[in-house]
Formats: sequence, structure tokens, C-alpha cells
Amino acid sequence: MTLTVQSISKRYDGAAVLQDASITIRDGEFVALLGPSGSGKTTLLNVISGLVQPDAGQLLLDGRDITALPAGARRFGMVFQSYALFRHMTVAQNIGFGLQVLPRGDRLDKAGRAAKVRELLAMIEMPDLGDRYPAQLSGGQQQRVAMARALAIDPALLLLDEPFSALDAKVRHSLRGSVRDLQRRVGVAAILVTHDQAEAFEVADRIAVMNGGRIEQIGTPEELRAAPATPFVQDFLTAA
Amino acid sequence: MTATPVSPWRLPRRRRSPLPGLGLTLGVSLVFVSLIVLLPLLGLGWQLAQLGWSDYLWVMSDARTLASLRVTLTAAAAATLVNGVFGLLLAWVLVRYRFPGRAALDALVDLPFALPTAVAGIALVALYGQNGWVGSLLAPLGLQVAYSWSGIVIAMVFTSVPFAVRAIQPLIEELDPAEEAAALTLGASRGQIFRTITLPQLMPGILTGTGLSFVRSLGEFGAVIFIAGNIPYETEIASLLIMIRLDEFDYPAAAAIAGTMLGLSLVLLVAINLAQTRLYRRYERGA
Repeated sequence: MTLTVQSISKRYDGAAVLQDASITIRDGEFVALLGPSGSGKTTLLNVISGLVQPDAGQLLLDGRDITALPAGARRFGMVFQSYALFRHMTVAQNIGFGLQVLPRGDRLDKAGRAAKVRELLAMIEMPDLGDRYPAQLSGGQQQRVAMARALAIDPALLLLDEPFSALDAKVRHSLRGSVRDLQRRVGVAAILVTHDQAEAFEVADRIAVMNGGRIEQIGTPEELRAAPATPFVQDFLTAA
Repeated sequence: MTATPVSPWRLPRRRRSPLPGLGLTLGVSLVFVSLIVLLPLLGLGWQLAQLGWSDYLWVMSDARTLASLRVTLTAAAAATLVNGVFGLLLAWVLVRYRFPGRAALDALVDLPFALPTAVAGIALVALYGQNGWVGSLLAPLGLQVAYSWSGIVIAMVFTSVPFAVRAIQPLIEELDPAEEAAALTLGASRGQIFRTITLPQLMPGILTGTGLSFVRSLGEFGAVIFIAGNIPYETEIASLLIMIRLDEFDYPAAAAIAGTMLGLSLVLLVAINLAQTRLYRRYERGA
């Protein structure tokens, strides 16, 4: 799987929020979009997810143009900042949602779906909490359920929108590691949106530093530290 | 060992509620509720108590009583159905869209509460009567609204639609758009999202709204009698029959019908409340 983001631009009410953003995400890679608020990183993630249509540019998945493909047809698993768990459904129903809504022909049978949900519950180390409702879970548990729900659809790509920002520092730290671990085990490529450079440096293989709707520099943590391409990158990395 | 004298200051005092003024406020509210709500109900209960079981059955099995109950219940059910759908739609439009005149429309929803219902009834007749704006258009099609069952439904819809809108509106405001987005990325269609995400979360409001709207419709008098035509056995509603029995000084019959309507409403309200608690307990409060 290779996702190529090509010269994506997006304006809201005349203001450019994304300008000519290009990046390639390779198989199994963990990429962070790092930048201050308003830098366009979440908009870029939403364009990739299909929730926002770009004004210009293309998205290519293994060479195939998916720019006009609706979000649901892309099969990208997304973890939202607030987790967006379905509060009227149990944990198991949440995780199984993506399996449940498939057209009848592509859908696993009931036993198959239940088995898959059990497998995912075990993977996030919550095997006995399938019957709970989201309101009965801690923040960290909710985050893991959101993760399992996104992974349930066997996504081609995992999209993480500030998934740790609602957690307290201690939980945040331990979850970073487990998210990275989970992503490696499943072998899915992931894009993480964050404003926290320590977080980006800790989990990402490569980091795209964004500012004012542009990608200023893309590189490994070492490359960024060794040779910041612009004054902004330099400032942003040393400031935090 | 010397005995310590018990100082009078240490005598156990009456424990005070942490919130001051509980006794006063509770007292005032209880007196108020008694005067406004309980006393009239007690009067009704007393009237009913004068009535033997066989007398009650005799009144209730009267063909005219049964017909009026049938008319009232079916019309109220129809009005409730209309309110459920239309109220949901109206609430949705008010919350989700921004358009010129939205604030005015929002205020207009409460109008049926403010308007004397008799005025509403007369206005509806003027509109739906044979020579009214809408009525004159429907007449050639063979549709008669005023002085018919459908007229009753329209009057009931008018007086009870605010209940549906106002009960559903806050729940639509509370819906998290991110949940819809999440469902979209998981492959759900718009229809599936509405069925599995939106509707279940609005259910408590729809339940309350339609329930209150039904109970209100059962008791509606002013608006309905002007448009119903009030033909016994056909378009005579129960509350009008109560009025007629009172005019005939047939208090036991009036009390029997009124008591039945009241009992029905009470059972409904309690049932809604129970269902409501159940729905909420499921996911609003953690363990």
C-alpha cells in the first residue's frame, strides 16, 4: 500500500488552509503531521479520510485515483480526537459497527463478526468489557476502543487525529507505546496528527512539519533535528 | 475520675439541612400544587367514588361514550404520528440549518401555547372550511377537512406540535457530528447512519415529545370543538361529551368519562417516564 498525496489545496471562505501539500506514505510506515493549531494538519487528514473534498490536487492509492471516492469506500480507519464512540452502543457493538454496515454480500456472518470483535477486544486487552457502554470506560479505554473500531474494517490506512490529547500525561505516555505497537502488529500504515513534537518524535518513522497550510519539511526525526529546512522548523523544534 | 458537666451548649440540636429554606419552599410548593392540581383531582375522585362499579360500566359502555372515545383516541393517535414525523423534521431544520427567518420560525413553534386554543380552532375553520383558502381547494377533490375526523386531527396537531419539537430539539443539539463522521469512515450509508446512530439517540426525545403530544391531544377541547362539527357518534370528542353531560347535570357520567381519560393519560405518562429512565440509564450514566 502506498498513498500519494499530490499538491492538495483547500480554501475555506477564501482563506487558504492547505496549499500545495504533497507527501507519500509507504507500506507499514508511521507518519506524523506535526504543526501548531491552524497549520492545516487536521484538514489534510480529513482530505485523506474523504470527509473533506480538496479544491485541487489528487490522492493516489497504489496509483489509483481515489480523490473522488467517498469516505466509506476508502476503507481508511479513523480515530477521532474525541473518539466519537457511539454512546448508545456497547463496546462490542461499537467495534463491530464497520462489519455490520457492509452490504449483505460482503458481510461476515453473525458468528464471524462476533469472533472478530472478540479478537479485537483481546488485542486491546479489554476482553471482558464488550458489554460496557462508552460512558462506563476510562479515557484510555475509550481511546483503545476507538482504535479497535477503526482496525475492525481491516483498513488500508490508519488515520489518528490527536488521539492522545484528551488524556492525562501518564496515560498518554503509555498509550503512545501501545498504539505504535498495535500498528506494527497489524502492519498497517498510519498517519498521526499532533501538535506535540515530543509525541511525534517518539512514535513516528517520518514527520511532516506543517505551517500555514504548507508542509515545510518531511523527514525522519534525526533528519529534522540535524538539518531543519526552514527557520520555522528550526524554531518550532527548539521552542518545545 | 471527675464527671465533666454537660454544658447546655452541647445539647444535641435539631439537625439542619445543608440547604437553608427547605421547609419553607417545600411547604409553599406543596400548598400550591394542592390548590392547583390535587384539589380538582380530588373532586373528580370524590365524584367517581359516588359511582358504583356497575354504574361506571354502564356509562362507559354507552354507545355515544364509546364512539366519542374512539374518535378521540384515533384522532389523537393520528395527530401524534404526524407530530412525531413533522416535529422531528422541524426540530432538525431548526438545529442543523442556518437560514434567514430561523429565529422567527423557532419562536413561531411556541405560538400554539400562546394562542387561546379556541382562536386556533376558529382560524382553522376559516382556513379549512368549504369557503376557506385551503378548504375551497380541497373541496373539488372530495376532501372535507372541517367538520370531519381529519379536522379534529389538524386541530390536535396544531395544539400539540410544540411538545414534539421542544422535546426533540435539545437532543439534536447534543448529537456529536464526529459520531456521524466516524460512521461514514466505517462505511455506513447516510440511511444507515440515520437509522443506527441518529434515530436511537433521539429516541428519548421522540418518546417524550409524542407521548406528551398524545396526552395533550386527548384532552384538547377549545381548538377541536370549533372544527369538529361535533356530530354525536361521528365527530364528537370525549372532552365535549364530558361538557355535555355536565350541562345535563349528569355528574356521575361526566366523572366516569373524565376519570377514564385521566387514568389513561396518567398510565401513559408513567409508562413514558419508565421507558425514558430505561433508555437513559443504558448509556448516559456509567456504572
